[in-house]
Amino acid sequence: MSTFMHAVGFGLVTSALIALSAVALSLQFSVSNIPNFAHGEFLTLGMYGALVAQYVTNNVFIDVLVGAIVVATAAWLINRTIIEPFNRRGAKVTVLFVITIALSFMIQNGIIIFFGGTTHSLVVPSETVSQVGPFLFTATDMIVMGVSVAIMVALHVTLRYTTFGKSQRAVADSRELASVTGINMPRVVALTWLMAGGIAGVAGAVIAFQGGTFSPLTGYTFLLVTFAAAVAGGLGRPYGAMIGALILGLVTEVGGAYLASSYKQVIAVGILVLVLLIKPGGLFDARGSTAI
Amino acid sequence: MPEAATDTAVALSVESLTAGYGPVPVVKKATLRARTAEITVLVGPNGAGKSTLLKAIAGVLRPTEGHVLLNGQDVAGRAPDRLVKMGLAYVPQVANVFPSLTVMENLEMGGIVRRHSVRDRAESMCELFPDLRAALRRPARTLSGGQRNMLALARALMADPSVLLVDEPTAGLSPRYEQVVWDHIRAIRQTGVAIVLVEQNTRRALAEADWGYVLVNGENRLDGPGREILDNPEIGALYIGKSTTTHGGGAGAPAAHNGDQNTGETAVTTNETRKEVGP
Repeated sequence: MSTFMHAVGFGLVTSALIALSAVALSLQFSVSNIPNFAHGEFLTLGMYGALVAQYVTNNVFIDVLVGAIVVATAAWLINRTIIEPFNRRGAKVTVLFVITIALSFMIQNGIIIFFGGTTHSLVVPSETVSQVGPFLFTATDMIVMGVSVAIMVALHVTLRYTTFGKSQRAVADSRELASVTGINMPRVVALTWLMAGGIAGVAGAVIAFQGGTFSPLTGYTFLLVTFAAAVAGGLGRPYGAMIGALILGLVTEVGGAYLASSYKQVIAVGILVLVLLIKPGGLFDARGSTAI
Repeated sequence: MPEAATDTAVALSVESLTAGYGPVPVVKKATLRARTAEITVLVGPNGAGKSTLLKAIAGVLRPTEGHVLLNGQDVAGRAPDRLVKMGLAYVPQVANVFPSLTVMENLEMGGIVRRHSVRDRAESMCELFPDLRAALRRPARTLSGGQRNMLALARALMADPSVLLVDEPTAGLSPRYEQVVWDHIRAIRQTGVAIVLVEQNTRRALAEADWGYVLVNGENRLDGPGREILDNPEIGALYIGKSTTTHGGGAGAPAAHNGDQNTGETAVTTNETRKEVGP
């Protein structure tokens, strides 16, 4: 029983990490319509952003914030200088997808040039373990879950109650109609890259804090599980991605506890394949209706 | 064509506009004028380029040639959202509402170019389209086809446009709802908007129109007061269909549909001398 409960506890923390990453991917996809293969490197950039910040301050929140700002800026620039010009020339989604694969390798190798290929670590102030109900959580675990929930709530409020969030949903529904309705579509897309980049940066930084060490490849290894959660929730639906992440986090951790931890990726892919077989549109597909 | 009537202002003037998808133009040097508080209809066989012309005016398609004067200012080639700010609204035939947004959110998006009083405007839209009021909190995807078209009109009117382009507002609707849509379009005209409609129900549209344009193969074929086009027996044979002698009750009749239009199209190509459009 205690093995199970510990695994569920781990699962919740893992879910919180995956949720941040998957929501960022899903939000960006829903509005920009581009499956971003470089999303893993967005996470990695967040880790290294936090690392650089840690040379200056040991404040965990400032480190995470710097990670977020670094990736938000990078995502905005990538859209502005690469994606958008291709879009304007009418490039197909497949072409843009291949471009993001190229970006993935470029960012990965750029990081290796600047920081080397070895692992780095982020220092966590103190690691007291506390009992919360049946679960054991470290201080970092609690911070990770708190940050994740806070960002989910903030995203929900933005999408539901602000004019900008509504225009994001409108662009996700139909770009052409959004334009003729008077929405400045390129601006909404650009700001969505910024926003999704920011969330991905937070995700990367908290993944690094939670895991302790990371390398230029850490984000990339998270790409599969991120896609699995986002696709399980219906790619392009940030709310679905939250639930997808919860399921994936719990199942991989509980499964890993009883099998072997090396099976976690296998379980993640297994869930992805199962969902695609049974409900290709994701678990919450309301018969092919639209995003967000 | 005689100069624009002096009592009403020309809100939209399209001059020799050429546009299409790829290198082959669909619309060739088309001309159109729409006046304030008038209904201008655009009719023609399937594939005549009616919808393409609307898209080119609305900025969805970039015209390769020609001018679009909106309240006297040349706006050809401008981005659609800029045109909305300048007073041009466009309702596409399909995908004309945001399905995952609620009815109220759809209206809010329509009013995004307004700096304030979005709520007041939404309230007056509910007065104009009473069906919407009960559905304000429902996602637009749950609306019926007719309700969607109402919402699409209301969404476009939220921006308080001077020119409203509407692509086939009655397509696929029951005759009863078709009547409702026409009632609303007349009500919109009352508010002083210049309305440009593309319609498949040619008879009905011309009967309602203040001015009609017939477009064939992307080119202007002729234009004139709607009734005049409708009552011209030669035009009837040319385009609308064979039964021109019985079209007296055109307004309420089930009207000529695609079958007739196709026969009309072949007739038109044999009659190249009809060209009454001029600057």
